[in-house]
Amino acid sequence: MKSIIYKRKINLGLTALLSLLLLNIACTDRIYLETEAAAERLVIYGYITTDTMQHSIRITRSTGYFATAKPAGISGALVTISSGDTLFHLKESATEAGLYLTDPDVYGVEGKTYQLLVSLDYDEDGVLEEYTATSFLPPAPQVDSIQVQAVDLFFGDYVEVLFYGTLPDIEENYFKFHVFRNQVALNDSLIDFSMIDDEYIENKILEGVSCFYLDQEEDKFLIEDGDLITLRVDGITKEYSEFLMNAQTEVYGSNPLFSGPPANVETNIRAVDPANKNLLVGFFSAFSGTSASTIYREE
Amino acid sequence: MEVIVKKKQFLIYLFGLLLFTSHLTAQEKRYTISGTISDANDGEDLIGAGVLVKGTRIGAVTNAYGFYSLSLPAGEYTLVVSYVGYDNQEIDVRLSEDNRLNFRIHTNSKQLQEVVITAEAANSHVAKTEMSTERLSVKEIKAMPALLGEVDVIKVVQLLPGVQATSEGSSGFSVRGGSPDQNLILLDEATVYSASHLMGFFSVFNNDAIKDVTLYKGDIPASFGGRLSSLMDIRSRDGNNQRFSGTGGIGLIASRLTLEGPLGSERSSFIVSGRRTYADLFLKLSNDKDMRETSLYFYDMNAKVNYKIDDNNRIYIAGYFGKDNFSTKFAGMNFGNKTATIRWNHIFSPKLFSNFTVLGSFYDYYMRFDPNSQLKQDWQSKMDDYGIKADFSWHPNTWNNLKFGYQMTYHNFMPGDGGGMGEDAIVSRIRLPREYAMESALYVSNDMSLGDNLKLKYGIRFSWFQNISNGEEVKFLEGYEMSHTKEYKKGKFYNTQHQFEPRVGLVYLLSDQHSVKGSYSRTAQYIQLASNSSAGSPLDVWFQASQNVKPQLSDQFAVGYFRNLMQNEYEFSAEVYYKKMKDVVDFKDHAELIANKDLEQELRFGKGYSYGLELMLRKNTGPFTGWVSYALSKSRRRIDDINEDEWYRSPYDKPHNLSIVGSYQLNEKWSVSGNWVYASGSPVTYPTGRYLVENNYVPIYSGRNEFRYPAYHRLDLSATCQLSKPGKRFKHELSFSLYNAYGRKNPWTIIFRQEDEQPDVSYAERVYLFTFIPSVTWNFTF
Repeated sequence: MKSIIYKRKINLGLTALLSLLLLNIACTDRIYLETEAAAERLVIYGYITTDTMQHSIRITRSTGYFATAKPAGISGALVTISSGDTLFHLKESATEAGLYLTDPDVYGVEGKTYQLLVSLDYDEDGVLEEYTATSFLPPAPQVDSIQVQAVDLFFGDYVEVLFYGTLPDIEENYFKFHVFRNQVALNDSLIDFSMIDDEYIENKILEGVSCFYLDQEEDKFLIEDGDLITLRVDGITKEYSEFLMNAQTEVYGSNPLFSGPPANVETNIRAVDPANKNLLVGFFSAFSGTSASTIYREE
Repeated sequence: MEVIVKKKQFLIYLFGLLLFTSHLTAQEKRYTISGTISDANDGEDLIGAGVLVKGTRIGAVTNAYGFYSLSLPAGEYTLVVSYVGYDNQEIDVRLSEDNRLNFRIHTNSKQLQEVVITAEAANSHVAKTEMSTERLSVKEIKAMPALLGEVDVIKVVQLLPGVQATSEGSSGFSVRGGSPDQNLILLDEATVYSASHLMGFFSVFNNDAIKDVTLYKGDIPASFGGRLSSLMDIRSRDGNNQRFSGTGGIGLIASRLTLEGPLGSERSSFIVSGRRTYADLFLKLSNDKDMRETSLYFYDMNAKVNYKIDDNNRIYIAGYFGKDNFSTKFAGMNFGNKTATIRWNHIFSPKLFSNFTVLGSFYDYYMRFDPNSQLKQDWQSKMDDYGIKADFSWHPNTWNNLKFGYQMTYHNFMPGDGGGMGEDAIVSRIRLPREYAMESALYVSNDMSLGDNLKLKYGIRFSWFQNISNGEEVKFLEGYEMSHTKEYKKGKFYNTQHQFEPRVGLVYLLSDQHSVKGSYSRTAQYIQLASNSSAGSPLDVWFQASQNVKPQLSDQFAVGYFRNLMQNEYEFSAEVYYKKMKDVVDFKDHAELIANKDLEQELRFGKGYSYGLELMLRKNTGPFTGWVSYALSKSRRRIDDINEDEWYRSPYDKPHNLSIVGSYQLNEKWSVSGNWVYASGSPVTYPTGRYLVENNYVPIYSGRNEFRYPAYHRLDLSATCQLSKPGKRFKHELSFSLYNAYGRKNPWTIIFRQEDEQPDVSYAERVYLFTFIPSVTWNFTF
């Protein structure tokens, strides 16, 4: 159990638990598999948020599954993010090929729709191709305060993070949670991300909703007396939420009892020219976030 | 309206058939010998026992209730009653009027010390029109090595040619490339929706309560329908009507007890059979409080009484219920089946046998998730079926055996109901709309002998399925997207679909020892499982054909050569089949199947085919019994939006499948048995590329099922030691089993991970459930 059990649908927690039970009675060993590398894909991934900061778009090439190095970045792309009359030009990082950055004073605005436009010669035929994606920037949940407390759960010791705040008064809310210990992210990897929606949540005002369980037997999540704990809640689009959850599912892997067949995760990146048949993966999104902090005190 | 016209067409067909067979009856004055054949020891009716006119090929075979009927011209005959493993019984009959002859036959005294596993008349394998059919006796099942000492009928079925386990240890099975939900599993005619205990490691069937198991891999009789691939027809025992007796066993994880006996007189008997696992009892000894509060067990119970009112009327009441329970302090689930069957056998005349059935089949599951008061939630789902059946078997003459009947099942499905619990809950309650439908069928078929060598079987089943409004709006889809909605009054039949399902078969006897057979059958399936996992889980729900979901259809052709050798001691068969499926249901990528109000939008439709060769060599009598089976097969599917609309391997496509099964009676005290299975690895989709998202590598996959797991093979062994002396009423034995004797690490799944220390390095990890598992069980009878 990594960090969090709160899932979007009500039965997933139990399904995960049963899978875990089976995996616990099962044995594992590493095996060598020979699989021919898939046809290379253009990977574009990044987002713009309401935070004032340098936002980034990463452009790389996919690799064979059993490659042993980071994917190669693609240099020389022209990258912009625009919304109505606002246009941000992104410049390639001087230290990392394929990483394109905005100026440090850039931020997104709730309610606007942002368009990513990337021009590059991916297939190296001397002609620039254009790729694009759009994302609405939804409103963020308001985090008024948080509470952090030790709980006895799942046959172990956990620290629970409770969220007090208000959800935006719109029909469908999708959000993801991030927790920080002394300003260091504890769930900065996709498999530790937590996404939920409010389809089955009754009230817009939340008074102490458990949104994280931090396993105290894992050093990575260990919380000590006096630690500053911060909870950040991002309002995201349904499409981005589905992308992250499907990507998470594929990273977790499947089992014969509860998982559907493995499947590629759908992207919102499109070639501007329909005749362009280059294979694409990744995602562009826009989202808003708010946060609150507290000092953890052992009881 | 259209259904009424089709029903009329069907009745005209039926009337024509009756006229035709009536014409045959009128040709010569005949008298009928009819009655039942039962075991002299315990009174159990014997299914498939033969009554043969000595020196001819004229005969009859008992039906599922042990009844036979044989029409002959007036004269003197010697009748031979035969059933493998029993002494033949001969009787001279002077026939000048209809005669009722009930036979009680004795277990073959010479073979008491041997194992005799197959039921039926001696050469029925060759002579009967049925093909693609396998029958298993309880003796056969009990002789097999068992996982954790629990002998399991489905695990034995998985050793038959053309049948494959869906995953290691699973009770799910695929027949000729079909999905597990395409198998109709009947217990005393009631549908069993989920046949597994403990996530599939055990089936719900207790062998002590079972009399007979027949698996139809194709060539399903017209009297059955509703599933594409197979029928597994399980009949429970009636109970010993001669004396009170019992059977039981104590194993490592479960114990069982069966009691049976006459109720007052031999006209009535009962049987009650129950078992329970007790692994959770050991958890109570744990030092950990949470573990002590954990429960993990299943139990089930079969009960049956029957009463013979008179020679023409008999009533059976049978029931089954079982439950699995898994519970911890913060989560829990339970699920289980219940079935109930009331049957009335009525013999209208020596030529006309009938059975009327009222039945119910119920499945439900319940889940609880309780990490704290705010997130405390539950979820439940239920399926209730209520049905009636009227089945008639008419024997107008020796050459015709006509069956006809009507069946109707009312489906009441509750796909899901649940949500937050308690005042603090932040999650709302959800109720998915109930689904109601009526599934009905009329059928007629005839087994006809054309001369001594040729037998023909032909029939037709007309099935129809009617959705019934639940009073809520009905959604209509177009191209998998919502088109419009419509409201119907609650209880109104708003959508009807129907199918004609012809069934044809023939056998040509080349001699008493070998024959060729052919068959064609069309089957339709109106309800299916909302599961896209390969093994399925008890949390899967069924859903119905509707205005958006057509019934799945299958056309299957098979031909085969059947040969008995060495006085029927060995049976050999070779069959080839071709199966074509239409409107096959699958699910789009990353489908949400549970708690989804718009499940039908997650569906995708397509087609499939499978074909193969199945070989079987079986030895039924003597100290050594067993079989060798081999299947060579191919199964493919093409479903909209899946695998870029290209054909792909069915999840159950395993080209090579070999089973070697044997039991040997060493002496009066010891017997040993073993089985070895080999199968090509299951198809699998492997990652062939990757890209980075938020510090994790997301896989890019190959085409659907483009790769295969490593080949599956496993050896199981068992030995049984009789502890009691011959002739004692109380008999007991110790049975030792070793599952996966050489510890093969067959993959249950293969997962892909990133190294913790070197996150850019990915690796594959095989997950396997069992290496060798020894077990011991003490069994007794009295």
